[in-house]
Amino acid sequence: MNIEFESHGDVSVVIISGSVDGLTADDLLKRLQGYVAAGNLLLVANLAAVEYTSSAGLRALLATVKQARRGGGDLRLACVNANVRKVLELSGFTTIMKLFGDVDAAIASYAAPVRP
Amino acid sequence: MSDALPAATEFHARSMRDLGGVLAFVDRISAELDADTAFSVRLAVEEAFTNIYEYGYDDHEGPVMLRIDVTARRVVVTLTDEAPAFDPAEAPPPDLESAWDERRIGGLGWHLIRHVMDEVTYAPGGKRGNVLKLVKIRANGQG
Amino acid sequence: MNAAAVGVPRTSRKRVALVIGAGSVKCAAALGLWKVLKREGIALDLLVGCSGGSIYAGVMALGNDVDTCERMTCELWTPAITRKRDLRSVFSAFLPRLLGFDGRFGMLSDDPLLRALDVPFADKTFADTQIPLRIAATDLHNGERVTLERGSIRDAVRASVAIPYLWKAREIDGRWLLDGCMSDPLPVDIAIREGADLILAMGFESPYPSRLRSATRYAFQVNSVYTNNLLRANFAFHNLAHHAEIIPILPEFERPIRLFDTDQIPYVIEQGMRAAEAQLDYLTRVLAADDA
Repeated sequence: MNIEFESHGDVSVVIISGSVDGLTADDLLKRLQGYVAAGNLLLVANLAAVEYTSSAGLRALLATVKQARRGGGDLRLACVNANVRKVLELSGFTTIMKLFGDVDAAIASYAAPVRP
Repeated sequence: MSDALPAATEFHARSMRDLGGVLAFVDRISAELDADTAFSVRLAVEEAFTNIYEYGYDDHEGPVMLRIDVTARRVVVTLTDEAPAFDPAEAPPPDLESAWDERRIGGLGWHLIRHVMDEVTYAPGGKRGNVLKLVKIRANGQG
Repeated sequence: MNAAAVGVPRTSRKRVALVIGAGSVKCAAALGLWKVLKREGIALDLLVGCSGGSIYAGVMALGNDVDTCERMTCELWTPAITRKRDLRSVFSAFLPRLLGFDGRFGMLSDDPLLRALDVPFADKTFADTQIPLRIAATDLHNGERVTLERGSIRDAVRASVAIPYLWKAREIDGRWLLDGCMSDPLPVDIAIREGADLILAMGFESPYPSRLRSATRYAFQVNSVYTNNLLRANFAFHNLAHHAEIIPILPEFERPIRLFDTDQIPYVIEQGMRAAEAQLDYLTRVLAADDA
């Protein structure tokens, strides 16, 4: 599994590729938590190149989402493939997280006007 | 119409640390499978394997034999362990009175297995342990 | 912990969401909660409604004062909305091939319901709200949750209260939508997804066995209000999934409150206030707390 980080102004895009499973999820979690702790609270995870995730991956995503939200930010997902999406749906994650068809839409979602 | 049975392949694990070997084993066998079937098998094996060590062996070491039989119509995954008997069908529902902790996300594993595999059968092992059989009908399986 | 020291910007105020679950007339208890919040100077940042709860979430989100909301909803919940039967629909259920049964069966014409909903909502849209609003409905074809957040509020509420077999499913954007409570009678997850820090969850599923009221985290005793298994499974997950606090506000009713018991609305609101008062101490402590 490979992780790359890209800054887009206030929003940070984390590009993950490969398999997120029991072997790689801890590493993913550490990296993501590092980004949040460093102040990158508005995160987008580009999952276009993630072909597989297990419940281990869900743990990593959930912990990161909670950490980002505590700081007033969020972790939003982009380009989730069908199989990974199925796992997210079965686990109820699609109701508690925001998913987008492409990275630009995910980045733009952070710019939506905040209602009073 | 009968399933021709090629030689089955087995992997013998001793601890959670063998997960890497297990997944590599699954990936090798899945090379001939369609993407959806391969995904389901890999997910079910990882979740079942993890659950056996976390719940069956209580995070300790123990033997797990993984066997995968591939036929034209289906993939049969068998996991045999020597942990105390536990029937996933009888796993208690989530304890709603206490705050869920991260560990309880393991209940999620069974939920995923049941959804991606077509049959989930449990039987107690010979003298001790459990035999879990997971069957996936292949997407291109014919009658 | 000094957030500035680790470079984590911290919003100064916690974002508060109110989720009003399914419960028809009982949902008026949300107005009682609102009275208490206003009195305490606690603002709401998000309103989420499901089924009957969507009516109250809608009128509150539009910025009406509590008395106006009370009056509007009394005028809404009358037997008149169930009076006119939809004959074609009834017949098509019994003679499907002749009249084309299409899964959108509803015994009642929704004209009276739509006209009743016009009273509080008229032509208002989600964009007209003063507090952001989300309404939950269920997609007829796949049973999945649909979150409505734009367009006509009246249509969204109508979709969320489309109790199966009473009213037909409602089409919005090409999807046929049913009562919100089929997928989840208390859609706390919508508030979680929107990033609310403190979620007030007001639920009403009956019957009410006796239960403990605890000013603690979102935990349910076995004798909980909710006998619905779907709810119970969801709550455990929401508890795990939320980064902050979910506080249940569970009004108690000493007598049955049935659909259209509008004369009981003042009592219902009173019970809503009591339920809010019971959690108020804990609520204010959570709001004031500095997260580590």
